[in-house]
Amino acid sequence: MEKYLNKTMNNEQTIDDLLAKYLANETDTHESDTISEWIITSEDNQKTFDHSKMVWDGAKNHQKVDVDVAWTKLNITKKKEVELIDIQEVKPVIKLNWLNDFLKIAAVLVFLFGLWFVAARQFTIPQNDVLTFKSGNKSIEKILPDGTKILLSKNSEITYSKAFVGDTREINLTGEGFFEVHHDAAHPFIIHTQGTEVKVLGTSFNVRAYNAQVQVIIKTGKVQFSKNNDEVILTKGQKGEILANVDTIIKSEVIEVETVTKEKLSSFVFNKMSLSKVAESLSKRFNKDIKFSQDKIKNCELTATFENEKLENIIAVIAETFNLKVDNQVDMIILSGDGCD
Amino acid sequence: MIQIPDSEILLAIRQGNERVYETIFRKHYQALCNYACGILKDMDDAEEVAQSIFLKLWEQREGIEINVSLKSYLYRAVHNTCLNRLKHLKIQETYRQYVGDYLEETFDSATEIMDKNELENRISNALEKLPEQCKIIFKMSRFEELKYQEIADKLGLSIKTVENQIGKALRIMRTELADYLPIIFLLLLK
Repeated sequence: MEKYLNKTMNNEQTIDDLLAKYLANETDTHESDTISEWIITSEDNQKTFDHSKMVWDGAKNHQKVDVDVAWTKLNITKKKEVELIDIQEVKPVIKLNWLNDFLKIAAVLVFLFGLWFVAARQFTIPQNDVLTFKSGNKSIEKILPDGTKILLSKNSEITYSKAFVGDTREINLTGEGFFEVHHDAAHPFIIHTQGTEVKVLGTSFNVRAYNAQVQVIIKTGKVQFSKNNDEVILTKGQKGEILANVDTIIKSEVIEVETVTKEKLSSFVFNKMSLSKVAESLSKRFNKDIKFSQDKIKNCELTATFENEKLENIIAVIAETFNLKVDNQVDMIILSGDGCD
Repeated sequence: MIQIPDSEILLAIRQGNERVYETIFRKHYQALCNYACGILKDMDDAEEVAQSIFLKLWEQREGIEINVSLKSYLYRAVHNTCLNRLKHLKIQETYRQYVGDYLEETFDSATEIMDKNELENRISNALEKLPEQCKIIFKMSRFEELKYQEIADKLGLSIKTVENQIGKALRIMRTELADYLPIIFLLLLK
């Protein structure tokens, strides 16, 4: 092998140098030819080349990654996701989450949910023009005249004066909404709900008051929470609760806040489409693998329209239609059943 | 070193224990990236996939049910996500040589993935065993994709030296992996 090479090139260059150079795309024409000739000279050479290529290709996978950077990145993404969970999935249990302490997110989230009924306070708006905005079966977004953004959850309603910005910005809420209040210290933003008042100064928060139970949890920022004569200032990590028939607000510490989010919704129209194709469409849109345990299911034909639905619901309908069992895993959905003939 | 059983790790994560979650992230991240890079041929994409797996693990921690070891579970998730991604990118032809029938095939058992992983470990070990300068130069060429001239300039060496060193790296690694290369061959042809 060495002798062969010495005939055609510089003594100091061994076959491995040349192979490496070739694999790294650094050879000139003459060197490339030399290698090609060498490879086809014998089976052993071919094998050595193949092995070298495998080693070369395989090595690429072992680049070191920066785990610290990756962990930081993951946390930022993780927190964004946590803030955006569907209200239906929210549980009353408060979980320990000390990572909150590391959050640098400027957004303020305030979470209110009703505990029990209190007589509603009359709220009079100075002007005659009062606007009402209602959500139906799904959450909708609304931007107020001052730039405040509200994501209203299902079956909720807000009312406010047409002019809206006076000395204060006032709004009436029933149900639930996620607010991103436009910062304006000169004109406090006040929410009236179920006999209580939440006064904020340029923060974002979630308010839930379907009935008269009212609870406020602050993630960051500051909020003044009051009812009649009792008034507290709540800051990050604190919770204020109002119990019925008692005009005192109970203040305590909490750690994790859960709020409304915009769940990924999509619309589809399927006309006698095979489930295999349906699965492909859904997978692509929602970025989750959908597999079938039995091949015959793939041929079932679906005719249906889905408007602004979550993947979960769509799968549920499909499962119902064809009598399929759904196995919902972390990285994929598996459907099984008896097929359609 | 105390080994905590998987069941306890999962329980902790399910309960929202961030410290445990961080530990398993740091433990498996590099290896999972390497694995994904093997399929996707790009480390950035590989990192994205690995991160998405961990993110999902956290988001769905309450509903999670894992019947295999945590490690197998993570690898399988990475594996499936990578294949899915390849399908989306429609670059099957380019990678068919390496991935072969993997695109149509799903692993029947977690152990199949584990075997392939053993191999990856050996390649990683072989790489680390290289003499210092040899390793640095090899990495500059292979990972940073620098040209020979660029490496020579950066380190103040002759191109000849660079050639020799990379050739040496190739030879050492090939020898180290001699026993396992036939296996790689089999996996590729499968």
